[in-house]
Amino acid sequence: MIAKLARRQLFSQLRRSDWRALLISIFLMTSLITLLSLTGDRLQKSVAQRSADFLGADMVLSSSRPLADTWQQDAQKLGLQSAPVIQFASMTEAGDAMLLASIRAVTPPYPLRGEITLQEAAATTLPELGNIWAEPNVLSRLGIEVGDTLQIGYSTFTVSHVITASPDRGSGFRSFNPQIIMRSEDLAATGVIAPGSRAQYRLLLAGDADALATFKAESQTQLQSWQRLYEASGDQPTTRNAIGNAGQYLRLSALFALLLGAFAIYLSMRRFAADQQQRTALLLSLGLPRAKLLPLFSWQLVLGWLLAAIPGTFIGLGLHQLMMLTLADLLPKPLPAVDLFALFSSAALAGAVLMLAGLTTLLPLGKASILSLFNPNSDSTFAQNKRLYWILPPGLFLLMVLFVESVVLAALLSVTLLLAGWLAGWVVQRLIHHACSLLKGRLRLMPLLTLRIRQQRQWHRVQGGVLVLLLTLMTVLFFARQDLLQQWQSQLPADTPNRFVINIQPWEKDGVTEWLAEQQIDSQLYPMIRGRITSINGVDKDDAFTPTQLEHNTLNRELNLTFTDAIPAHNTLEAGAWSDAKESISVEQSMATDLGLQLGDTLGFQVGSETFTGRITSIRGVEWASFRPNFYVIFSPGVIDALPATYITSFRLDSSQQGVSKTLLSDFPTLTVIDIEQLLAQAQELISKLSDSASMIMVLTLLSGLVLIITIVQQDLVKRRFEVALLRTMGATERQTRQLDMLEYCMIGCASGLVACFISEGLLALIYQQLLKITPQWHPLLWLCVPAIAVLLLTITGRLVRKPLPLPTSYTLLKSGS
Amino acid sequence: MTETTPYALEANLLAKTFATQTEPLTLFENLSLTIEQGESVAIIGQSGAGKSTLLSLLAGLDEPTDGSIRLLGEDINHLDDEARSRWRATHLSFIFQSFHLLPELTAQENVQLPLEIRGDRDAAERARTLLTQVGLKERCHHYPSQLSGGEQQRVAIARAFVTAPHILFADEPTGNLDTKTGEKIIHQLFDMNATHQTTLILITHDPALAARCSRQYRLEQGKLLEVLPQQEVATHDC
Repeated sequence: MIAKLARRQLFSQLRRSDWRALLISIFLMTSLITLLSLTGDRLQKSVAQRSADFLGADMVLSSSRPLADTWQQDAQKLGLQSAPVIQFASMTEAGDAMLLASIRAVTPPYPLRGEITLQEAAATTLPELGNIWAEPNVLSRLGIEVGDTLQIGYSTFTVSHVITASPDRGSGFRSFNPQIIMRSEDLAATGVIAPGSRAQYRLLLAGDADALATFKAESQTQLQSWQRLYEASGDQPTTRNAIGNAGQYLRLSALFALLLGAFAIYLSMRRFAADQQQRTALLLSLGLPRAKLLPLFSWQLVLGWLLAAIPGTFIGLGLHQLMMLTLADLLPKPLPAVDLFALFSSAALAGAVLMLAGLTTLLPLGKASILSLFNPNSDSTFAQNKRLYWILPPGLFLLMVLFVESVVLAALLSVTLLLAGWLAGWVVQRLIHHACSLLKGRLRLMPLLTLRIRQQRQWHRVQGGVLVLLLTLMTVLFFARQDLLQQWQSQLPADTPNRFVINIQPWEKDGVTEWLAEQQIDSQLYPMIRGRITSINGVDKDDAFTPTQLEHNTLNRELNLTFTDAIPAHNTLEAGAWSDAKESISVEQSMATDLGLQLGDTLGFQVGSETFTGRITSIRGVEWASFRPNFYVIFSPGVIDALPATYITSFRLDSSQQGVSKTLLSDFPTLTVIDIEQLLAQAQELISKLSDSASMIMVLTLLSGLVLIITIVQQDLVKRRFEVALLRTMGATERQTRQLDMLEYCMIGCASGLVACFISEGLLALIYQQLLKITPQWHPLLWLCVPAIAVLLLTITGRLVRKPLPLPTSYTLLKSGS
Repeated sequence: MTETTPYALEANLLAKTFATQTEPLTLFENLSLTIEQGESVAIIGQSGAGKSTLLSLLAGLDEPTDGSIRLLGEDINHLDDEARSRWRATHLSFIFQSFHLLPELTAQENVQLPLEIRGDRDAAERARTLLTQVGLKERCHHYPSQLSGGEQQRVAIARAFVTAPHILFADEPTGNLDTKTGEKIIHQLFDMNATHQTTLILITHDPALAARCSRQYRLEQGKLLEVLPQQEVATHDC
C-alpha cells in the first residue's frame, strides 16, 4: 500500500515545480559527476596503473647528452633488459609539405613494457631498416599515405605503418608533436644528430624489482645534473604530472558540481516538505502510523532517484565518450576501460545526497500535528524540528570526503567555496542596498523596491553568492582562452621572426650565413654552448644561494651560453656597460634580480670538464617572447669560443617566401627549421581542444547553477505571490508588481555581474602574471557583458517562474489566509 | 443626499456565475444594493453563501457576470487594469481576517506601504500619525512577530485608514481574535471610521458586530435581504 501511495504521490508531484527542479538537479548532478569522475578516473588510472606501459619500461634513465655505453653494460650485468632511445625534433618533408615531428630512433627490444599498436599488423616489432612508422597526423599533415616516402635530414624513408598507440611518447610539449618511430641504425645517415644537437637520450630498463633497486642505488652517485632516473611507480615526468593534475582538477570540478546539486536538492526538498505538512497531517488523521512515513518518503525519493539519476548516468557516459573523442590526440593510448564502479558511483552519490537532504527535511513531518488541520496557523512543526537540519552539513561533508578521498581537499574546497560565496553574496546585497539609497526618490517604485530589498535580503545573499561564483568561473575560462589565443598573435610586431633554425653545426655556419645573405634574409647566428653555473664569487652555488634560488631556471639545469662582441640589438642595456674585456659577461635582468646578482660579481661555469669564470659588467633586458635567440648569459669573445657549439638563428619569411625553408633544408638537410606560426597553430589547437572540453563541463555546471538559482527564486514564491496579492488589493497595478520584480532581479543581476567582473579581473590578472606569463589587461567587454548576462539570466528566470496574479485570485489568496 | 453627491456604492442587478465541469453554477443574480457615503453596512450570511465573492465584486476586484457597479459614481469595471488600480489606491481600503502584514517590514513600514504604492512623499510621517491614532506610537519599529494579534490588526486598521479612503471593506476583521480583543478592535474600527467619515462595508458572520452598523444585509440563497433592527433582535432572542 505504501509503495502504491508513494508511486501515486510521485506522479502527481511531477507537476510541482519544486519536484521538477529536484529531478533536474539530480539529473544534472549525476551527468556532470559521471562525466568528470569517469574522465578523471580514467586519466588517473592510466597514470597510476599503466605508467610502466606509458614509459615503455620499468625504469628510464634520461639525459640531454649522449649516454655512455657503461650504463647499458651495468644494467646487463644486473640481468636487466635495456633499450636505448634517442628522441629529437626534426623537420620532415614530403613533396612541398614540411612538418616538425618528434622522432624516436629505437633499438630492439623496444619497447620493454607495453606495445606499439598499428592500424595494420606488422610482421616485425619495429620498423625495418629504411622504413618508418608514423602517427596518423604525420600522414595527414604531409598529405601522404602508407607506402609513400618522406625525408628526414639526408635520408629518405618509406612510411610502412600507421601507429595508433605507443608507449614512451616522451614528456612535455615533445609528446604533443606528431610522432615517428625509426630504427637507430638509420639515424647516422640522416645527419640530424651531431654534437650539441638538441635531443633526449633515454635508456629504457626492465627487470625484477631487486635488480632495478640495485641499479638505482648504484647510479645515484653517478648521475650528472643533466641526467635523471625515474621509475614507473616513482618519480613523475611532466606528462604524468599534467595528467595527474588534470585528473585532480576534474575531481575538484565534480566536487563543485556536487555542492551545487546538493544545495539545489536541499532547497527543493525544503520547499516540498513545507508544503507537505497538511497532507501528512491528513494521512496521520486517517490512521497512517507515524512509523510508515519513513518508508513512504523513502519510496518517493527512490523513485525520483531512478527517474533522474539513471538517465543522468548514461548522458554523463555519452558526454565522457564525446570528450575522450575530442581529446583523443592529446591522451595516452590505449586508455583503460570504463570502470563500472566509477560509472555508477555518481548515481550512488546523487542517491546518498538525495536521501540525506530528503530525509532530514521530510522526517520532521513525522511530528506534524493533526491539530494543524483544524487550525492552519499552528504551523510550528518546522520551527521545532530544525535540529534535524544540522545533520545535513556534516553528512554532506562526509560524502565529499568519501568522494575525493581526502579530508583536507574536501574541507579546503568546501570552505573556500562557501566563504567566497558568502562574501560575494554579502557584497552583492550591500551593493543593492547602496544602489537603493542612491536611487531613492528618483524612481516611483523605489520606496517599494527598498522595502522589497530589505525583505528579501537573506535570499539576495544566497542568489548573489551562487551567481557570482558561476559567472566568475565562466568569465575566467572564456577570457583566459580568448586572451591566450589572441595575445600571442597581437603582441608580435610585424617584423617578428617566424622561423627558428637550430642544430647548425660549426662547419655549416659560414655556409648558412652566406646562404641567408644571398636570400637577402636579415639574421644573425648565435653560438650555443651548454654549461652550468657552479659558483658565485668563488662560493659554491649550493652554499651561496637559498633553496628557492637554487630552483631558479638558471641554476637547476644547463644553460645555453653564447658569446658576441656586443649586446644583441633586440636586448636593452639596463645597468653597467658592455665590455670586450676577457671574462666579461652580461646577464639577463630577471636572473640578476632573482639571484641577487650585482655588477662586478663573478660567476663560475662548467662546460663538460672545462671550468671558467665570468665577471658581470652589464645587465640586459630581454623580451623572451620576441622569437629571437635570447640568452641568460652572454660572454665577451675569448672565453668560450673554443668550446663545442651549435648555432641558432631566427628570421622572418613573408608569405611570398614560403619556399625558402624548403630550399634551405635541401641545401642543409640536417638543420631543424621550426615554423613558429605552425607551432602557434598547434598550441592554439591544443588550447582549443582543452578549453572545448572544459566548456562542456562549464555548460553543465552553468545549467546546474541555473537550476539552483531557479530553486532559490522559487523558495520564496508563495510569499512573493502573497505579497503581490496584498499590493494588488492596495491598488498596485499588475504592471507595477511585475516591474517591481524585474527591477529587483535587474539589481541582483547587475550587482552580481559587477562583483563577478571585479573578481574575474583579479583572477585573470593573477593567472596571466603567474601562469600564462602574459601581460594582464582590462576587459571592457567583460564589464559590459557579464552584468548584462547576469541581468538577462535572472530576469528570464524570474519571468519563467513568476506567473501573473489576476486580481480576483489575489483576493482569494488573501482570503484563504495561507 | 444632494444631486451632486453620488452614492458610495450602487450595485444594480448583479449576477455571478461560475463555470463548473457539469453545468454553470450561479451564486447569485439580480442582486442590487445602494450605500450612501459615510454609511456603515454589514453583510452577513452562512459560510459558502458568497459573502466574500460579493465583496470582491463590490470592491471591483472581480467582475460580475451581469449587472453593473458604480463606486462613488464611477463604473470601475469599464476602467482598464491600470486606471482601476489607481482608483482603488485612491478610494478604497481593505481589512482582512488574517491581518496580512508583511513579516519582514516594521509596523510603520507596513502602514507606509499603500502610500508608497501611490508614490506619496510624506508616507513615513502619515504612517506614524495613524499608528499614534490606533495607540501604537511606541510600536512603530516593531516587526509583526513582535506584536500581539490585536496589535497586528490595529496596524492593519492604521494601514487601511492611512490613505484616507472613501470606502473601507472589512472581511471578518475579528475572525482571528479572541472575543475581548475583538471587541476592542471593533471599537477602534468604528471610532476611526467615525473620525475619518469613511463608508464601511463589513463582511461578518457575527450578528453582534453586524448590529453596530447602520444597516445590515443577509446574503442567503443568492438573495440579499435587508435585516431590519427588530428582525435582528428576534434572531438574537432565538
